[in-house]
Amino acid sequence: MRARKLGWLKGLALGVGLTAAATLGFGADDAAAKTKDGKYLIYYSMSYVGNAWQTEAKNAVTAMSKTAAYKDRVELRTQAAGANAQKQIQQMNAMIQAGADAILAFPISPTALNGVIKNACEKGVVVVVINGVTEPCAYVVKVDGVKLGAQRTEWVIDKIGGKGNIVAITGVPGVSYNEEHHQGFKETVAKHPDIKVIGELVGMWDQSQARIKLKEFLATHKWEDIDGIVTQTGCYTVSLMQVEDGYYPKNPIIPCSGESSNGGRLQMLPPDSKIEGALGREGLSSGSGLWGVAYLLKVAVDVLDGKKPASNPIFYNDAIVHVNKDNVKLCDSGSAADFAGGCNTIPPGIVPPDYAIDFWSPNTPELGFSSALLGEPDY
Amino acid sequence: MISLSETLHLPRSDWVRQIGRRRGLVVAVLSFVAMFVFLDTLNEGPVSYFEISFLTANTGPLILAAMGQTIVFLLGGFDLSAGAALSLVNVVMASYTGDSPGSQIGMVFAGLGIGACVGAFNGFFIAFMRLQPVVVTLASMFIILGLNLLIMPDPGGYVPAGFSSFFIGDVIPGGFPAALLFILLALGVWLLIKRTRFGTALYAVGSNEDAAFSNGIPADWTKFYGYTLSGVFYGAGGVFLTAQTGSGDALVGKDMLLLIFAATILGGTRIGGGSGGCLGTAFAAFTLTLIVNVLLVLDVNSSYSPIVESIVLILAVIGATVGRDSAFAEYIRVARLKLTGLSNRSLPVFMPGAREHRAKLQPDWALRPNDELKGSALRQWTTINWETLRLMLPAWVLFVVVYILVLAVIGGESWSPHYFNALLTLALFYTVLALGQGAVVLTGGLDLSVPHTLAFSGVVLAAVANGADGPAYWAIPMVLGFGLVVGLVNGLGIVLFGMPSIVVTLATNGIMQGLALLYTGGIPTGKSPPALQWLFNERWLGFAPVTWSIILIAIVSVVVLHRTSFGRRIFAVGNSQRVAKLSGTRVDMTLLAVYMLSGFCSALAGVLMTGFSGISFLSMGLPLLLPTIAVVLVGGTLATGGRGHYMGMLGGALLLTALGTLVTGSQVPIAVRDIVFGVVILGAVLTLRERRGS
Repeated sequence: MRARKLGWLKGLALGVGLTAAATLGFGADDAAAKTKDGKYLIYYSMSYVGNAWQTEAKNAVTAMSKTAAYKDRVELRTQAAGANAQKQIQQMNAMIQAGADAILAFPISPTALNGVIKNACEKGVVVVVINGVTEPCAYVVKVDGVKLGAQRTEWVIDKIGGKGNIVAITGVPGVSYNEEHHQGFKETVAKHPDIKVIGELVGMWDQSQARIKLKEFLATHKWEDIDGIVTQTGCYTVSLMQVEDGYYPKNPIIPCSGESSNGGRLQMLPPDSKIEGALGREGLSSGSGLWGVAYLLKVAVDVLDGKKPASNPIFYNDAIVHVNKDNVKLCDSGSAADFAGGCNTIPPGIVPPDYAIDFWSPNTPELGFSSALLGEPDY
Repeated sequence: MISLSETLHLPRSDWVRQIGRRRGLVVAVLSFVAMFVFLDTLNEGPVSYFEISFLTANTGPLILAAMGQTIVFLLGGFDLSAGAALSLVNVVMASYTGDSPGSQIGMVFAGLGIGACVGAFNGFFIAFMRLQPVVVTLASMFIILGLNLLIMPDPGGYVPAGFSSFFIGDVIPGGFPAALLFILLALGVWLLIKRTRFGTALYAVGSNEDAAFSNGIPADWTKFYGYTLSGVFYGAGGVFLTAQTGSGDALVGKDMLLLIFAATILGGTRIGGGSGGCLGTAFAAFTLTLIVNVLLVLDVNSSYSPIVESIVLILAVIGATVGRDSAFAEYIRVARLKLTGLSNRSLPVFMPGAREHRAKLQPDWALRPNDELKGSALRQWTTINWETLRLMLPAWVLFVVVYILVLAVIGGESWSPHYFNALLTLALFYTVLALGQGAVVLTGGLDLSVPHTLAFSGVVLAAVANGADGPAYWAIPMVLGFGLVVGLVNGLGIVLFGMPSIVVTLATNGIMQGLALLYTGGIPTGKSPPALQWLFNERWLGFAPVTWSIILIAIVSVVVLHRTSFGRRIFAVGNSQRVAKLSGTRVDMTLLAVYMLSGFCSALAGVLMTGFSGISFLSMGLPLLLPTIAVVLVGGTLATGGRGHYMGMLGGALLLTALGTLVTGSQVPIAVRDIVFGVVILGAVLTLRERRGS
């Protein structure tokens, strides 16, 4: 008896839900509405809110939307999807429904978003993503990870004379950019028979993880065993740990190539410069292109204006600024003009050491130091 | 007979009773309808067929996976492997599905089969090996995550377009979406199963396993089939996910786990088993999906989204639990009674001679002379403590085994104090967190607020101290105080509102994440006080001061958990809240204190982490949560509470850290590292399994 009795309530519940859906729904698809003041309505669907790189990227694209060229033409709204692809799919669809002219995205998955992106394209919404998705109708702005990985590895191998032990610090396993970068690393190492990879550490693109994994590795190895280090993120921490362990100044810092952290660049300055943290270390600091996220906005507006990019995906490896001991240069004001003049590092104390400094590039000459920190353009 | 006539003659009270009983379901439906109507009024124009179709297609995987989790919850279990299982089905299907209809149909069944295998794997260890669900599914989660990476290291793969449109296309173009049909089908299957003998057994075992067993229900097999069935639902979710995304990604399911839990709890299914169902889960899943739309329509700043989402979760759960029989109402009743007692002077305080009476209760604590145990003092001690030793031995033995492997496989520096210094430095964070998490687990709870409480205290400390020791003297006590406050909030949510600990702590975790974001503007600045770094970089007899401090931490922890009346109360509450309460233990005060202890330990770990890293990061607590839970459980702690020892957890901390040095220091492929981790956890607890009848 009881089972029956419970049944009707279930039925009622289901009925209520379906009726609500039916009575309110089933209208016609309405076309996207632009903002009332004639601006392009552009949404940015970011991923996690909880890491500094993502915040900088959000700030950079926000600053771009406020520059003179865009402030009267674009209204930018940002939403965070966390780490969940399903949420991002829902979010991007809501953006389409909210009348977006263009959607910029940091895709959580390169494949899972294909359906919603296709749907956006069919409705005439321009989709521009960083790093890449496999749906061809989206415009993709990306770094060639294989090439960058190879470049960073080649640099380290060159510095240590083509012979010795190398440690790799990777990003998040299972993410396309990480796999590309690691592929570039492995292909390059394979070309050098005298190079031995003695460790592959999972760094998760996070300085604190890089430290933990390196500490685990150093439990069973010595600094003296390592000749070169290739990272996706971690050179700053790796070099600092050599100071803490007393390996430096008895030995020079081990050559390390990787991310564009400001602290990592300060470490390249000569020790006699009296700059805090300067070690005169050998290193290559290039970043994977934080500015690429701000560049998404430019591409989107260009496409909306009818100017299609020459290629899709748009690879931007050529616009990456590579910094080493020889060309590292402190900025005075940190303005965009300052960066255009060749400076590439912010004095200590103004930004945290893990702060990604590659917001400026020849492709985004508008962005100075306040863009990624505060989300405000210089002018 | 009487109940039959009652239901026939008193329809109105029956209505009320039914709704009361099914409040969870009613709240789930109402919140869905409310959110839907809210969105519909805000949007210009009516909701289109496309939107309904899209919503059902996009929520499908979550609904199916959460239905599986609901079945596990009904059995009184807990499944951490759900998200990973979804991805496993996804990567297999995207890798191997061909264009022929035969292949496509075959792969659907393969997907369901893979899900069933995952469920059966969990079910086997839980039902027949009598292991705890949390630890089994934690292990299987790591194993599956590793497998996923092995099968598909790089996102990609493909299923034919026809496959996708079959599941997420239209049954009637412009009229009825296929996704909705499949969701209704799944719910239909569930309702049918529920009416079978097996369905009844499922609820019976979840309500009271012993009672069910006494009534002739085969509890083991019911659990095994229940977990297998939940796996089939994960399989269905994976098939649906594959259809919806058209390709594969090894990471896509992992982060759905929290959402799966939220949907299950919001749907009115009780943690601990016996009450709830899948229909509420389905509505809750829709509600959770629509939160994204609400945030977007209201244009909520992305920095606030973790806070807003947490508050919505809390409000919904409060809505589902508040009522005349809720914990909160109970408190109000008691407070009223006390007030009355105060006004008419009938409270015990006013009793004449109460104090003298209490003094007389002090018994004579003379130790009873031992007249049973024989042999040496050591032997007697082992006999007395054998049960506790048995629990902590596996972790220590495995630690030694792993260390021998490190010596044999890597060699190098691993024989030297250098190795042990690194090992103990890395184990430090686990030893601190294990005290807090361990205390919480001993009461039968789980504290998921660790990651962002830890990160918050770290970023605040670094920003305030900014590389100087001076401010640290007040900043460190301040952030430790924050930790206590977070713990207090957790405790109050659990005690006052009677909410499940994972809901409250999950929500506080989100709120702390939001607060850290707002405090730092998303970019943490500052540096650790040099004194903290000194703790890691100085060497006393070859070891850093922090490694010596582990001795202190261990002593404090053992004393707190095992040598104080507070510790006794923790165990009492963990064994049975009701019995503890009836025995005069202040259960609510004990819980408050336990969560405050955990908050304090999280904050302390944040302080230490800041010293370790030199700077602080918003994400620095995340990688520690699951390993800490593993440390606590591998150390012999019972996930439902009441059994365990800190020395076991310490062994667990050393075991997992040594394992980390083994896989990182050797050339084990990255994907295999997760698998090793899972297998070791499972292996460690296999020896801990309870014998039947014990």
